[in-house]
Amino acid sequence: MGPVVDIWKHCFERVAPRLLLYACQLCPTRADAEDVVQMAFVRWWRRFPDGDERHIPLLYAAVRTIALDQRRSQQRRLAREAASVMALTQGDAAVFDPAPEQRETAAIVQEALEDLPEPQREVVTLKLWAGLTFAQIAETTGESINTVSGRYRYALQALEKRLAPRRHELVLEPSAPALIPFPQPANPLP
Amino acid sequence: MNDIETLLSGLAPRGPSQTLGQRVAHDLDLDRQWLQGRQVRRRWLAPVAWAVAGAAAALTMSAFLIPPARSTTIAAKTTLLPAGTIREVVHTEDEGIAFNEASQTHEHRLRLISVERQDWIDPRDGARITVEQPREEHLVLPVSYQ
Repeated sequence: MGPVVDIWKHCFERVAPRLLLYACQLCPTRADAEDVVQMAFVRWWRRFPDGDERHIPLLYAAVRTIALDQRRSQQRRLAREAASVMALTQGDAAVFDPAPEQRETAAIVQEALEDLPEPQREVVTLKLWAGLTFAQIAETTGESINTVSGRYRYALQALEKRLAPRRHELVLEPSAPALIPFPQPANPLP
Repeated sequence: MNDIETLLSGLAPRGPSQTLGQRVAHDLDLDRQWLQGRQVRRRWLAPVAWAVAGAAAALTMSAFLIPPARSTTIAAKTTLLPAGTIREVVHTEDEGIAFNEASQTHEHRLRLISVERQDWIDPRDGARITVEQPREEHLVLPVSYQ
């Protein structure tokens, strides 16, 4: 294995978890998401063999395109196989890799994320874990910046509302467990 | 960043399975092998390309000298696949009716100038080769006065 090989490995190890998390938001199973990430990364690397980070948003765009193509072909296949009662299994595999004390938090957050509408989930994933800007997300998803920033805001509000009743169970930092100080009601009871 | 953003971004995404890395490595290895093979192929591709260019030039010349009545078979020996042929008539000229002394008949003469574009595709990498072949044809139509 030469240094050229190590370049892609280094790049892949860095981006793969985040890519996979994003692909999991669009694919029915984790295995499908891995297929999508494989195809997207190979295509992207063929085009940018130096792994230039400025082109990372295009990698997410490739994941999106391939995932949607895959979904369309699966829908066609399922339509053909409808008589055989085959159905997509929902992705129940964990998408986070939490520290032991954060396992419950991760499960709660994953559940809350799954309840979001897909467009909101997609924006949250691209913003928080992929680290894209709203402009890059807008380009990736083909929406306007206002739309994606609105989706992000609504998604955070929905997550906050959903997680608030369970805030005592959430651990913010893996190293220093702490309860999350969710905003208190404006007029607390006496 | 508010609390909910801190909470979410603090969770690390789960990494891919080991097989995913191996699958990507396999795909990129195939790419490298293919590229190396292509570099070897390029050694003989240059003379072939010149031969194809020469053949195209010869055909172009012959199109002006000989009435074209046969189809070309450029690149038939290579792995290129024909992707399509388009013939576009760029100019027509009616040379009118003339008397042919040899056959002792009147005939209507037309001149057609066209460009035939033949596309070839390399299935290995999708490269497309287009050969443009200009043609000039003189059509002679019988004239009937009945």
